[in-house]
Amino acid sequence: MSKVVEISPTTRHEGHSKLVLKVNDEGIIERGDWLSITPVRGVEKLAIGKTYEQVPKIASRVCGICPIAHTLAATEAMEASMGVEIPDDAYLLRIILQCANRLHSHALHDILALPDMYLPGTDSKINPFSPEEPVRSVAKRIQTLRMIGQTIGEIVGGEAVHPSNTRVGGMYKNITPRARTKIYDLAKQALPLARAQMEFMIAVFENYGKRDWAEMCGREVTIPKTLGFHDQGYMATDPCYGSSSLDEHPTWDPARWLEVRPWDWYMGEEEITLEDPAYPVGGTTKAGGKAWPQMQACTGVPLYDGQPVEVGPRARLATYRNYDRKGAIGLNIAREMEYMDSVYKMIEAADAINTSGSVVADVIPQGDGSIGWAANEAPRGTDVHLAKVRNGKVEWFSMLVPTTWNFPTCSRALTGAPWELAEVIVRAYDPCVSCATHMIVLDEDNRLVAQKLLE
Amino acid sequence: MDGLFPEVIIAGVGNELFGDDGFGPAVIRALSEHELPDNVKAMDVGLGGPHLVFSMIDPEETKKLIIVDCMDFGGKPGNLTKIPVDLLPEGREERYMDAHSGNLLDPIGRLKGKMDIIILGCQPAYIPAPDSEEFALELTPEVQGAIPKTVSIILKEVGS
Repeated sequence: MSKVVEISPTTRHEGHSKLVLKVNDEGIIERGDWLSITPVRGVEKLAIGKTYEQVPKIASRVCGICPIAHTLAATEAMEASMGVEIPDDAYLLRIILQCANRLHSHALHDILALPDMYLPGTDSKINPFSPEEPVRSVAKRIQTLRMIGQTIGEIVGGEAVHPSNTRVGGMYKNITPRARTKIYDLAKQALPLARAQMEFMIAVFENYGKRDWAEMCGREVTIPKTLGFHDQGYMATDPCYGSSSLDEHPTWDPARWLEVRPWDWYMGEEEITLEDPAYPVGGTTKAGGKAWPQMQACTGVPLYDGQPVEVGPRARLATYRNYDRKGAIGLNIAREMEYMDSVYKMIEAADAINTSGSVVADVIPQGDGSIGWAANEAPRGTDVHLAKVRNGKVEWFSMLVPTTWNFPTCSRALTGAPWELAEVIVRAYDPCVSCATHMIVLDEDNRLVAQKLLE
Repeated sequence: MDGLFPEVIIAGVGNELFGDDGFGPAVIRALSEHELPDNVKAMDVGLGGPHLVFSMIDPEETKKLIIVDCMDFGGKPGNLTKIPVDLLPEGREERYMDAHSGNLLDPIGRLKGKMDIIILGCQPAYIPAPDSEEFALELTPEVQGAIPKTVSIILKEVGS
């Protein structure tokens, strides 16, 4: 006899989401639904009628964690619609910004994931804010990596959090030779820290993967060796940066994308029949209440080739590097493996930049209403923005952000896990939920078919 | 500023899409017209302040944190208040939640007592409800009018 347990809200990520889990008598998840319950932000609607310069700035405010990815994706969606080719040096600056964002974000993810983990060789859970060694040194290293990422982002992007130097057509300003030297210095400072952090975190995740149990709700819960496994595909557009409809060989195809209603995907109304007050942060939802994921989910469900897909670090490594480690631990380790590339890529881009070069396109057409898209490989995965710009004004704008892609895939990855470890799986996806909420587009039959606008 | 971590941080918190919630970022923009001492960094931290900045601060290097935000303290729109950190409820060290549910208290709770924390709040006049479809890209005149005084208070705090 299945029981239903609800964890709401889920914690240690950005935004509001919840888990509705149908479990068997042993507490193993038979079906799990992870859904956004963040109210609709309406950014896509707000964008209509605004200028192509305003919309990337608006898009950057949709979420507090990845404003850089949203700025870049929105800017390039405008450029794709308007047919603007940016100069090489502007592209190199954007690469640095992208990598700085990834360095900062991955380090932040370590803070979110660590409290689930144990110090290798002990049964002590890691509190990343502990003043005790060895965790204090790890926390300091994480802080330093984040500060380096943020500082490089500020040098290139103009501001630490919301880049103001990016613009449609390129960048407002090139960097000075002195700023380039500063980027080198900071990146070189980051290299040994990133390596040490990667090695530490991989050891921690491997240790968790080898453990038999984790302490949850005051009891020992068995960790399955298949924690977080799924059989869905991967979607990535580039190992580092992304793709757009202006590319000669685009690596994302809107014809393969379909978005369906949450009604068609999530569970129907369920009575909550299992509760555990000992679950962290106030216990699970009390029994007797109702959960109705179909009605409560605030996102559409995007499919690629008719299926949910995983996006993010593992998708990038699986697509471009033959990485094949599955499950929550495999995903966490893949993220750590991107540390070094982020730093080396920044150095390469800084090397290649001509600091005297122009960073703004000579001609910026105002748009004829053509559809354009840009897919940015944000830290959490492919962040696709689509736009139509006519005479300088945005006529249509849509954001298919990483966690929107990951919600249904991660939901499938919950099957087979003890319900108490569902959040460990969710956190492996490094969720960033707020921006995943977006306006839906209905056709004449009230079905959501956003791709119809691509005609 | 030689070190990576600034000695004094001014953090403007808020979302410019939601009317007077954009007060913090607007103050940071206004501050950019003033020359700040080398040991001071002013940042528009948007709506990710706790994750993006407050969890990143190293108390061994940063000695003062000034947070600028809109805040309902029962004043008239545009009124300013300065809240000593001791007046805030306790943070919950063991309860690390997300950026929304966790609000500012948890990260501040971790920094409390380790540095001088000043919170400058401005009474908002209008903030659209987050679950509505309303947006307001401008501050109300009352809150806009509070910016010069806020800047002046901050400049005094940082000795500029």
